[in-house]
Parts: sequence; structure tokens; C-alpha cells
Amino acid sequence: MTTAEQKGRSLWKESSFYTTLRRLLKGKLAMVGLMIVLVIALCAIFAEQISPYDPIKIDYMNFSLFGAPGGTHLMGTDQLGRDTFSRVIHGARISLSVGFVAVSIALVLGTMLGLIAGYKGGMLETIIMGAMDTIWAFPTLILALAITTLLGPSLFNIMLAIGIVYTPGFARLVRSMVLTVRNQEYVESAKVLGLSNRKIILRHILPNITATIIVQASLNAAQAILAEASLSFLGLGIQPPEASWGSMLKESMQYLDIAPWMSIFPGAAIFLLVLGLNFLGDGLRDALDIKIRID
Amino acid sequence: MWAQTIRKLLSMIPILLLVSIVLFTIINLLPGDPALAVAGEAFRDEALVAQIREDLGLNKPLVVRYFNWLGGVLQGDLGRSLKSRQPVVEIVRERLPVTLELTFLSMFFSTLIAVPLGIYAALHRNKAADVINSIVSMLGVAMPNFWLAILLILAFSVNLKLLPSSGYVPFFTDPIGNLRFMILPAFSIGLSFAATITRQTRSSMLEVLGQDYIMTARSKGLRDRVTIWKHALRNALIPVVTVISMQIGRLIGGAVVTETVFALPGIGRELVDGISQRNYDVVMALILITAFFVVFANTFVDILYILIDPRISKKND
Amino acid sequence: MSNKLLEVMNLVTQFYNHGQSYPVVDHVSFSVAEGEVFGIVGESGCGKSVTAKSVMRLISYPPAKIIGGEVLFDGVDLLQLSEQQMRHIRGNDIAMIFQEPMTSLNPVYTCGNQIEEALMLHQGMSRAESRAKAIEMLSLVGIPLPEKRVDSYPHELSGGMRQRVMIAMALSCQPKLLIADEPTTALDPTIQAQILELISNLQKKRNMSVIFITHDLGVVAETCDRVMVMYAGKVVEQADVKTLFNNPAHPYTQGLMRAVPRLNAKRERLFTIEGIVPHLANLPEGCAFAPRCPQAGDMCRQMRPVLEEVGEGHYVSCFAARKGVAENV
Repeated sequence: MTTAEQKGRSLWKESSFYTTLRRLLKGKLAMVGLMIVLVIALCAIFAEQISPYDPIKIDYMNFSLFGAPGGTHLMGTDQLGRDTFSRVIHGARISLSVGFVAVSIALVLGTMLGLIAGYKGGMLETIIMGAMDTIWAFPTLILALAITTLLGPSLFNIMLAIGIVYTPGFARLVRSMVLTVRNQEYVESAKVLGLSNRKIILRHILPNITATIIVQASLNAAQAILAEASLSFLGLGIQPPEASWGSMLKESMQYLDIAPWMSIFPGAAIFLLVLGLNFLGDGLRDALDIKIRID
Repeated sequence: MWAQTIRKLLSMIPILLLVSIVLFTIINLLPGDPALAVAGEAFRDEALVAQIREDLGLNKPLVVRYFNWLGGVLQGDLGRSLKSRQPVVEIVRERLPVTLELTFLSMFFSTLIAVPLGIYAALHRNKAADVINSIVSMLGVAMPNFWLAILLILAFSVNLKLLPSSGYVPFFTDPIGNLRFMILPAFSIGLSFAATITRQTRSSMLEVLGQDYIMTARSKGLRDRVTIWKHALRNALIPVVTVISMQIGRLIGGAVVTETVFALPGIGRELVDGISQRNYDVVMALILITAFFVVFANTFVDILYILIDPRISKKND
Repeated sequence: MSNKLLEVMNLVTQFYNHGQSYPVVDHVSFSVAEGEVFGIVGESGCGKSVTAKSVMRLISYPPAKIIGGEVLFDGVDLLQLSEQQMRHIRGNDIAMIFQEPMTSLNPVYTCGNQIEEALMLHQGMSRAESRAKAIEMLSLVGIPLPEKRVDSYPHELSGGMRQRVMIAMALSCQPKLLIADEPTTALDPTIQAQILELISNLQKKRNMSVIFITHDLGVVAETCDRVMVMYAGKVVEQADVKTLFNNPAHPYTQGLMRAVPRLNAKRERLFTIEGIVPHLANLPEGCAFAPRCPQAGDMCRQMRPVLEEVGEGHYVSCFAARKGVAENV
């Protein structure tokens, strides 16, 4: 029956080895993502203990400009003789806190607006979604840039600006899910039972959309971290001498030919953290079996 | 279909009006007095500053200023740069083509490469090529474009000395030279875009291949090629087009950042300088234009849907 | 009923899933004569659909693969054909209609386009010829205003209309064999009756052979000449429709009969077969139906019965049934 085997081929072909490899990858990816994020989080929390040097003060005792990686400076030193490794470790604090706080702002604001728009409908919905569409119309980075400048480039203002920019994503997602959940039987019966709107939202609607919101949050955290790094890279975010991965990259640009390590390590840090959060988000999406596409 | 296209185009107007209001409000609430910035060294001269303020119309209420500005914009007058007194229209005419070329190049080539890759991966699901493709796109999505730009400069300019790390010639002056300047920036922005598109194409292609109508097509005796290219692809492209349109804003943002890395004379540098110098008219014009492109891209995609997916056009008519 | 158009012998189709492999179609044999309507009955997951798709070689690996048997169509073993030769058979000599009319038509092409496609491919018609033929087919299957409907998209039609379009498409190239895979299951009862009538009228008109796959014995009684009952990937009983209904031999068939409500019967509780269909990956050692069978003895739990003839053209795979027949004689 070999001919039938050969000829009975299908539209797509696969071998079991790579099938298994892919499944393994998928299953493990969320774990790998979680590990990456945890390690970076631990670095951020224990930055003082881990970093061998002060990230900001210039070390006049063992002064070495543009020291190559190795020896006492694991990732080399910068144009002021500061230890790149210590600055990268401290930079984790900024990136992680921006990722966490900005997304929390977007999540709370967006979920509330989305719930109200989806559940109440009518004029309120038109106004809320109109506002969300307006924010959506700006390129996110450029709007974040304008808001940050308006508020002044402090850490919290950056978080707030990025939070505002990512609010429409949550609002749209939550609203669309509320619209599908709203007419489902268990919500209908809760209405028949005379539950108050607030109770219906809290007890019946919110739990049903939490999983999707969590996945969106982890993927958006990665985007928020990239946004902060971009702002700082443009010089409109975290200001020197504070160590932020984006601003370190900005400084490194002038010394590309003599001190490439100054750009390689902070960039790799951003890349790793974003990768970890993406893995986590994708893994969660598969694990929680979420069908809605999230961007 | 035409009626619907026109309706879609008209629906851009309210959004753009809202965008202009939000933008004008944000920019005019920015701390710092542009009159002082214009006066520069002479900022101690109260009378002069007052005169400048009067000339710029800064004394009028915000609403009046908004309508004046909007009136100007509608007539193609975007104001003047506070610094150089150059009309903003000229700045835009000079800078915008660079950014647009960069955005277009990276979008065009990314899509050209990413969509076939995604289809190939879906058709060879879980084969070596697919798994490698998946890994590369996972890495690509996480790659910060400005870091990639730096790495490319390190590799191709600093070490290999193959391509320039900065500079620009207009395309019509020297096409080859222009592309030599553009290739690294376009690749920097394009990689994460391409990665996103590949992943979306692969997953939607796989989903479509599992649909009943694919079985129907095969039961008719169609070749696999026809089944895939005629019956599967068009359906699979619908979500891909959505993702492309949603990425346009990110692409323009990426272009703005990447331009500064390669010292390309696009709107990026102008925007960053404009913001730090409180150069209102320039900043407003540039942001308004980027927002216009995002809104236009979304509308364009909505219209494209009408062509790809007959369900939409008939539903709304 | 002499000329055999299709003869399937010992067909085995295996599923590969999570490192396990198990047959979903296990040594299935049957034949369909010219002009005959042959029914395949069974609960969902019994392998009836996979049997049909195996005949057309529409099985996708993964997860499934045909690993043995012969499928003789007009004397030619389809399993030995090249993919190209097989494509020439599909849609031309053997056509198929599916369960879900809502999703079986491609949403982005007009109904006409989808009918014309097969005509241009197999009959070498020009665009204009195939369009005229498509309109003719649409009118044949009872679609009002066929000249207009030919340019309609599937979403503009109701479920019943779409199934008519599917039938028009399947019959456009005058196939010798039509495989109808639960063509009425997804439709409203009144529409079901219309579609059944349509298929049976067209079958008679064209003296076409039909394989009718269903889980509905009522449909079988109305349409089929001969029937095969499948359980867990195997044929458990095969007979002409009269014999099967008057004298069902396999306990599973008997159970199915009693599960059908009857108008003339006294009002009693509808019979249900206890238990559920076992998963094909871990079938019991003996007869697959033994755990649910009221007549199962020790032998049934240890040995697998084989299909044997108990009357003329009446085959059963059951120890108890054979004993019962023997005692009756």
C-alpha cells in the first residue's frame, strides 16, 4: 500500500519530530518567558546588592574610560568610566516599573471605560469609543512623546503618558467582550433575578473576561517597555545621568566605533525583557485558549 | 460599492477633527512660553516679548486660536517655524518624503517577504523551515528597532564598511545612492513588522486550511495550487490586512526613532527638536500629518475589505 | 443491482494523534451498484465520514492516513492512482456534498464561480458555457431566479438554498457516484425533507449511485436501497433496507431502531443505548460493543466477532446474533 501512502498526501505536510519540537517549544515558552522576567525582576529589586559599582557616580579611584568588557567590569565602562553592568542592572528598575505601572494605568482605565461603554451602550458608549478612536488615530509613540513633554519628563509622567496611549486597546477589547458576554444566558438570568448592574458586572462579566485582559496586559507591558526605551533614546524620556536602557543607548551612539559594548548590553537587556514578556503572553494565550486576536 | 467607499472616506473627517482638537489642546498646554523662545537673547525686553506674543496671536483665547489654526490648515497654511520663520509647509515638503519613503520601503518589502513566508510555513507546518521561521519571527517581534539599527551600523558600517551609517540623497537625484542610505534604516523598522505579519499569515492560513470549503474545493478535484491560491489565500489575507493597518502607526513611530539613528533628514529629528524648542506650529503640523496617515491607512484597509470580502459590502448596503 | 460501480475491500484508515495510532476505519468492505442508494449509518465518531473521505482520498495526513485495502471504482483501484489521476476522478466521476452548508461554500466567491470552476476543469468548458451550465444546474436543483442567484455570494442565501447550490455543484459534471455526508443534519426539518426529495429525484432521473451517510434511520428508510451499520470503525451489520428494518440482527442495530420514535407505537419511554461510544484509541479486547450490549456473553468480551452472512445479502458481526439466527432456523 505504499503508493497510496505516498499519493494520499495532504495539503500540508509535517513530520512528527518537528511537531513535537514545536509543541515542546510552545509549552516551555511561557515558562522560559516567566524565568526571564523573574530574573530581570530580581535584578531590579536587588540592584543595590548585585551591582558592583555605583551606576551614576563616577569612580575616580579606578578611573577607566571606555574599558572593554572583562576583568572587574563585566560589561565594560562608558565615556565617564561608569560600570555598564551596574547601569544595566539599575536600568531594569525603570523598564520594569514603566512596564508594570503604565500597563496598570491602561488596564484599569481601559477596562472601566470598556465595561461602561459595552454595558451601558447609547450616548455614553458613542462618547467613550469616540475618544478612544481619537487616541487610537495617533501613532502611539508620537502621542506618548507629546504627552510626556506636556507633563514634563519625570518617570511617573512617562508612565502616565504610555498608560494613556495604551488605554484604547483595553477599552476596545473589553467592550467587544462585554458585548458578547452581555447577551449570554447566565447574564440574562442574573438580570432576571434582579441583580444590580454593578453586581452583574463584577460577578458575571468581569470574571469571564479576566483571562483575555491578563494576556493583553502581558503583551502590552512589552510594548510599553519598548515605548519608554524609545522615548529615552530620543532624549525625551528618562534624563541622564539616570540609568535607563534607552538613554544609555542614546549616549552609546557617539562611541559606536570605539565602545560597541556600550550599545550591545543595554539593547540586549531590552530585547530579553520584551522577549520574555512576549513568550509569557503567547504562552498564557495558548494555555488559557483565548481565541480573540490581540494586538 | 462606490457609495460605501465615499461613506468610509467621509467618516475620516470627524476623527481627524477630533484629532486636531486633542492635538491643539495638548500642544498649547505645553509648559514654556514660545514668545520667550522666539525672543531668545532679548527675553528681558518686556515690550518686545509682548509684541511677539501679539504678533503670534498668543493673547487670544484658545478656542479662537484653534479655529484660526484650523482655518489655516484647511487652506494649506501650516504656520511658520518659530525659530527660522520658515513656512511649516516648506519644512513638511522637505522632510516628509524622507519619512514616507522609509515607511513605505520597509512596509512594502516586509509584506513582500513576510506574507509568502507565512504561507510557506503554514503549508509546511512543523517542518524544519516552519520551526526556524517561527523562532526567527519570535525574536524579530521583540527586537527594538533602534537597537537593531545600532547593531546593523556596527556590522555593516563600522566593521564591514559596506554601507553608510548616516547621510541621505534624494531618490530622484541618485536612486542607487538613495537606496544605499535607506536599506539599513528600512530593515531596522521592517524586521519586527515582517515578523508580526509572518506570524499572522501563518496562523490565519492554517485556520483557513481547516475550513469546510477547502474540503469542498478539494472534492471538486482542484489542484492543491488552485485550492491554496484561489480558495485559501483570499480568506486568509483578511486578518493579515487588519494587522498591517494596525501596525502603520507603530511603523511611523519606528521611522521617527530610526531616522535619528541614521541622521536621515525626515520628520523625526524635526519633531524631536520642535518639541524641545516649543516650536508649536512645526510640531502640530508634523503630528497631524502622521495621524492623518494612520487614519487614512485604516480607512484604506476598510475599503480594501469591501474588495476582498463580499460579506462586508453586502451587509452594509 | 448487478453491476458494481464501487467496491471497497478491507479499507483501513489509521489516525495518528499525540504519538498514538489507531484505526478509525477498520477493514471495512462494501459495494455500491449502479443506480443504487447505499446508506452508511452510525453514531458520530463511528468512522462513517472518514470511510467516505477515504474513498475520495480526501484524508489529510496528519492526522489520518489510508494504510490498507482496495477501493475499486469502475474496476480501477483508486488507492493506486497518482494524485493527478485521482483529481480527475474527484468532482468528475465521484462528487461529494457535506454536512454544513453554511461553511462548505467559500464566502468570497459567488455561487456561480464555484460551480463553473469544476465545469471548466473537468469538462473543458469556456467561461460562457460553464456559466450557462451553472444557471441550468441551479434551476435543476430548484433555486428560483437562477440567472440572478448565479451571481449571489453564499452569505446571501439561506442554509437550504446553499445546500441546493452544493448539490448543483456536485452534480454539474454528471458524476456516476454522489457521496452525501449527512447533507440534511444541519437543516430545519421541513427543509430536510425538501433536500432529501431533491436528491432522490435527481438520483432516479440520472440513474446515479449515491452513498448516503447519516445517523438518522428515518432518512435511511426513506432513501436507501441497502444499508451498512458502523460501530467504532467497523461494519457491524449490512443488509437491504427491508431486512434491516424488519429483522435487525445486531444488538446495536436493534438499539438504534428502538431509539427512533414511532407515531403508531404505544407511548412508552424511548429506548436509549446505555453507555457511550468508546474512544477508538482504547477499545475493549473483545467486541467493541460488548460493554454496552445487553446480550453480551463471556465470548463477546474476549474475542472479536467477524462479519458473516446470516441470510441472503445480510451480514452481521456478532456472536449472539449468529446464535439467535441459528436457533430460529
